[in-house]
Amino acid sequence: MSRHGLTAALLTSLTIAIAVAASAQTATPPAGTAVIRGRVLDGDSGRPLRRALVRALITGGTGDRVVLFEGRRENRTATTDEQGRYELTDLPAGRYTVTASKGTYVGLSIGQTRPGDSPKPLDIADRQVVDKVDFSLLRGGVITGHVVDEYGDPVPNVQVAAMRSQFRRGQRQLVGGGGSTVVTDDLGEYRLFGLSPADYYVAATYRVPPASEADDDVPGYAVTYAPGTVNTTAAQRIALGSTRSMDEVNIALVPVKISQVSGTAVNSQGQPMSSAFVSAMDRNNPFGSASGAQIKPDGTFVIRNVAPGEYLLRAQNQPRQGGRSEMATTTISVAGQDVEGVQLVVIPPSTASGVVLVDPAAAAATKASSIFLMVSPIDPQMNFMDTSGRLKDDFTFEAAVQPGANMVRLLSMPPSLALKAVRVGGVDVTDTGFDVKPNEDVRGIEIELTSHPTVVSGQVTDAHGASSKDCMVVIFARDEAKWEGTSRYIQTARPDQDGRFKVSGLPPGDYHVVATSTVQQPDQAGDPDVLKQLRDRAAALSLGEGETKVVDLKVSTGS
Amino acid sequence: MSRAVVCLVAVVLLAGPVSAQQRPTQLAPDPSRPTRDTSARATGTAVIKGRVVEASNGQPVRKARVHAGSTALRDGRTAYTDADGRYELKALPAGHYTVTAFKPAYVTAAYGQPRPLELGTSIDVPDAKTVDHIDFGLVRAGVIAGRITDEFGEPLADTQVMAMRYQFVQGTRRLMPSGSRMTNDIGEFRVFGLPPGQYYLAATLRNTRETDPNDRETYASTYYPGTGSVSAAQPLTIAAGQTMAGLNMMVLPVRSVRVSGTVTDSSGAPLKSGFVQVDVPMGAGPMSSYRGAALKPDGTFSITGIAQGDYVLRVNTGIRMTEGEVEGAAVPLTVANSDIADVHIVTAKPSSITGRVLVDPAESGSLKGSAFRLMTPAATADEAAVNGGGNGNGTPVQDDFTFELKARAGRIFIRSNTVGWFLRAVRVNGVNVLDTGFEIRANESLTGVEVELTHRQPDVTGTVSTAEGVPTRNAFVVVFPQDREHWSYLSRYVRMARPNPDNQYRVQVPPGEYLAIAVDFVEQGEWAEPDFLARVRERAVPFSMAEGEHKTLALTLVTLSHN
Repeated sequence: MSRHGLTAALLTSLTIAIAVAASAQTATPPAGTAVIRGRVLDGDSGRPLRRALVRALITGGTGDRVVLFEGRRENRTATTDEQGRYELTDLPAGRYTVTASKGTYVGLSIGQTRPGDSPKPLDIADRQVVDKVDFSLLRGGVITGHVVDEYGDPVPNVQVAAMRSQFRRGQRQLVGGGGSTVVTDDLGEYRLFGLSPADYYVAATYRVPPASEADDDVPGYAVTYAPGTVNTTAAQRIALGSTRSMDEVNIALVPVKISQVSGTAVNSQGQPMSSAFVSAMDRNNPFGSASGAQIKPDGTFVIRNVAPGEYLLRAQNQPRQGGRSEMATTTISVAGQDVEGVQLVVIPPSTASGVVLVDPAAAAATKASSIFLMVSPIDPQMNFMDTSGRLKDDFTFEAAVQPGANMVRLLSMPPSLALKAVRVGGVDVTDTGFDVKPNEDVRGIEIELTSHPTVVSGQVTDAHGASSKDCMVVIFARDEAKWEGTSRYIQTARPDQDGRFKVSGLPPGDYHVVATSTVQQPDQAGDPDVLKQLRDRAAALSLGEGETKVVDLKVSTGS
Repeated sequence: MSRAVVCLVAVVLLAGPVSAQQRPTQLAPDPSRPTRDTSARATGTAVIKGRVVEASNGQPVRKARVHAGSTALRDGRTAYTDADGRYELKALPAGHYTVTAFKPAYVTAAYGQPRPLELGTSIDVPDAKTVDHIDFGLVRAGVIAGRITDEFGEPLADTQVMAMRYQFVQGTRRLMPSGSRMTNDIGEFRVFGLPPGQYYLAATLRNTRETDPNDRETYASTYYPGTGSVSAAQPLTIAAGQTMAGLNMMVLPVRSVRVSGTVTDSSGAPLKSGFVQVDVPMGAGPMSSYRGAALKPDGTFSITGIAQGDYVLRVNTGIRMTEGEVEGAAVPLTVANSDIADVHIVTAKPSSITGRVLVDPAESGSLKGSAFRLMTPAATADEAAVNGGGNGNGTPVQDDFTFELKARAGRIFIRSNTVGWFLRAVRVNGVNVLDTGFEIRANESLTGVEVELTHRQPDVTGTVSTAEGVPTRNAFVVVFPQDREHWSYLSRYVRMARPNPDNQYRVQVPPGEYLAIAVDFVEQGEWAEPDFLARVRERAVPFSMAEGEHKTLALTLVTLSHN
């Protein structure tokens, strides 16, 4: 089975550990004795919501890490009755996130007044009955409009999606953001619904029907943003905050010339890759549908219906059992002309190997197999293979790695440890990553962990001195150069119900720290413009190696 | 649960309104040309052009897709109409073409069809010629719109509303999907693109992951105006371009049961991973969004929320043991009002059938074995409903004329899917099972099968004339055997063809005693039905076909009464 992403985490809570041991053997949900009950109401009318689904998800004792039993999440569900009442029974003791949802209402967890807030976990003991766990759900927001072509004719079957702006990898991008994608009807009309309050941009994707050889003038349209632009910066912003619906968000599709991309794909022996696929991913629209083509028996391929743009072409074969897949990628630019002669030669991944260094006292207390890492491309769009590795008992590791710029990422490790440095060939590459050449292995990687991570904790209060939980604590490096990419030098935390927060694992150095209500989502803290604004209101913070500091903060309001 | 939706959506797409089992209209292949290697890209200098307008008002239809298909051109050719509705299909090799015009929200039009949804006729395109005025009057498709609510009158979102029509598919009259849409947050739906006809509307709550597994109630498919059974459903008649609005329906919860059991693989060990899904058999109702569950590591499964009805339990492992061999199973299941426990399903790898293709070298010339393709369709309609229709495009034969086919256990035929070639015999253990089919067991490896193919098939050609003696192309010529025994499922002896642009029809059948009739209209697939053949038998003309014979037979058009 593939192991993309998290498949296991360390258990620290003893109660959970016992429950896990029992359930892992029987593979059936462990019986318990605790009860959670409450009501789910419609937030607008106050009326009870029938047939709402309430789910209790066990989150374990480590805060944001999820405990998985046999690879599946443990959860219990119940539906509300005519009075909106529900009851979850036979729950094993533990820490839970409880979520209520119903169809097109915006789902909420306990502790959230709006989605995106950190949910407040609920700790439950055996035989405990927790009552009045109530929810007030709001109907999701709605955006409607219609889509037309260059003649003003309505276009049916166009995929329309609500996108949100997120700061990723150092730039602002539009990504799919909540609510399902819908398809226009015969009048070209669409209705996006179930949207949580946020700012949206509407994107329309025309799906070209499958083409055959020598089709002339196949009409094509670019991914077009309301009201009719291909530029994400010029896209119309729809603020679905207090207004819950917006009509007449119409889109005039921008016609483009459709091209064809052709070439050959062979394996490392020079033989054509058979029954494999070449896929073409639009770099600017990675979540849209990718096009591609089957590789013919002679190794040639022709990808039709390619709209202008930057594409990542990838040929990858299926690994034999237990083996690794071979892959080739290349970036091409399509600007209305056919692209021919693309050559892809798949090669097996290289191997990255090395050792994790921990001070001897901590090493004795740590199970090597609890540390799980990945050597993955710096560009997350390029992540196509299983490049994870688990540590052997002697703290050495081996992982597959794709050619190109890569970074070591620690997926899981005991909370008492934190990353100190990653060295390749003696050079510190912790934040810069390192280059892997095709067909060349990288050996002797040193990953140094410290058993004395820095800890910053404290209390956030508002202007009246009361504890504040409705804000985000942001700690970021003073040195702007450290703000790039997925930086270890920027961390955010949401205070709990008593206004307390805790951030651990920041590298030693000089920082700004601020509690602010203007940052709603963690990804906003990656935006340099946001950080520059926060800088003026932030306090200074210096962290030495292994230091613990207590910082009390006042929420700074204002835009 | 979302995986179940994905798998089932795939089923819906594959089992479209025209089943792979339907025999294509016999396009008369040119006997002077050798069998073409259709993988090469063919071009020529002929042109087909014309104009597409709206039938109701003559206004040009822009961006309509016009497709020309021919045996001379694999994949055909496509062009789009311009601002004036005009199109041009260029660089065509000479041949007989069927031309179709398509635009979303309009009824697809086939050139030469007397009525929407019927087969068109082919046009003859000579070398280097321009065939003009291949025009189309597109009819706007029908729309059915309304609201779906639950038993409390509250709008139901995420409900699939499907418009279905009866069609002849795989041996029986089945309810097949024509179009479907999901309801939005206020329960509204709008199913569009419907050709004129009679429809049944079904609303089915889509299974999202958000369902309570302990529910003893589920929303089964509800048919307009609000019944759970198809027989009590009210058909809706949609005329060309008609929008039928206000079709509101209440979906009622019904009692549901749990189906559980174990799955073991062909070696007897519990199957450790895979997915069990409960499918609605094709044609028995809306096919998508039924339930399923992943297998637990001990090989057991438990699926809740199944309403009363007939289903097919499918086990999908998706694990390839070696290339192309996937353990799987499909078994029928009838659900009444109580839980069903202890279901035991044994999966099997597809059985293999190996053998040789025998052709007369004088006929095949330099053709390699890979020019031939074989299929293994189920031999009865019921098995086809459970196992699917067999490998869609057929499996190519090896260059040295040996082949390996895969098939699920049951009774199957071996059929050829090679244009211009006809089966003479299929010998299993020395016995010719060409028309009877044969049983293949689970995990069996059948060897030594011989498939004999010939390029020559007796044919009958002629003209169809109206009662007044005028030759017409708007006819369906059905040729069927006098012996009712051969009016069977997927019979090789029952054939249909339409006259070409020269008003000539051509039907190729094996030697035997036959009847022929030319009718003005018959539904797609219906012409192979024994009921239809029995009805027209009296008015059909008897004749016989001998080995290698080319017969001429003139027919008079018979008008069948149709509303």
